[in-house]
Amino acid sequence: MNEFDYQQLDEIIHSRIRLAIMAVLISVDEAEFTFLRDKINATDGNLSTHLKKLDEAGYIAVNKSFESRKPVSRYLITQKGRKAFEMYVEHLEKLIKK
Amino acid sequence: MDELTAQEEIAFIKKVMQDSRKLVYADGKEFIYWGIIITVCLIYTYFTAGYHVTGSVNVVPLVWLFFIVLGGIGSAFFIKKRYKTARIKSLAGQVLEKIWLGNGIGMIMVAFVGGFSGAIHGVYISPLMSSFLGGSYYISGFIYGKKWVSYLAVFWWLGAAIMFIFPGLYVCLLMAAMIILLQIIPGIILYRDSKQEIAKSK
Repeated sequence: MNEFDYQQLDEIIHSRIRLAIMAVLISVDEAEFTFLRDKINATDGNLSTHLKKLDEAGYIAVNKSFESRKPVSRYLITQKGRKAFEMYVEHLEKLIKK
Repeated sequence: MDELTAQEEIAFIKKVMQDSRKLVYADGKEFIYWGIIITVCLIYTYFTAGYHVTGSVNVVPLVWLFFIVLGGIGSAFFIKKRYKTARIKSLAGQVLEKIWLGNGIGMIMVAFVGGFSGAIHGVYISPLMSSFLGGSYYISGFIYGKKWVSYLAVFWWLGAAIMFIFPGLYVCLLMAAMIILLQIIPGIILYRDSKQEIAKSK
């Protein structure tokens, strides 16, 4: 095996949109769906799909509530997600240093 | 994945993280709310201390105390509501809250403990408040990413210098005017901007 094995990269995070979601969520305590959508410049459907993947992997958690009778979803990174993100960045740094 | 892509990926992550860390929810509501309370108290103090129009001078500190407690209750309500409804919760937002809370307590100490104990003459309370406010605006503008808010600090400090050098009853009116110009109007601008931002996101 090479010093750096690209297969070590987390496939869940290794997508531009999911990486952006993780990078935003690791920087804030909590973010609303519409905020993530505007920040990442994604469509509602596309963002929902990627958020679902991250949620299923246990990397993010969602708090759903109602405000003025409208459903509001707020996302936050989990401990597992934080660790996975740090590992991902570590792998990238290893690749650069190689 | 080659080295270039990895570098691009790292740069992308850094940029997103830096942009997100700076984000803070600024709706200006507390600027307006506190601005109105303090302006009313200052005008009341001016007419009571100078012309006894609104009652005895001895009541002035109690009126201030009443309004500051009222202000504190209102602020707690705003913070609770913001905590529930803000689009993001960030470290920058928490830092900002702590700065204003810390400075607010400092101002209460100066005005009430300093004033009641006689350590600080009443006429110097406004310039001291103005100095504290200048510091808070300077930091807040930096955290909001709005330079114009930081620049307001210069006017707070300039006003403080004038009030220290030329003390007198007029400082109540000058301070009230400064609060309208440097706090209530900026608060309205921040409120309008936040409304526009929310409308764009819907």
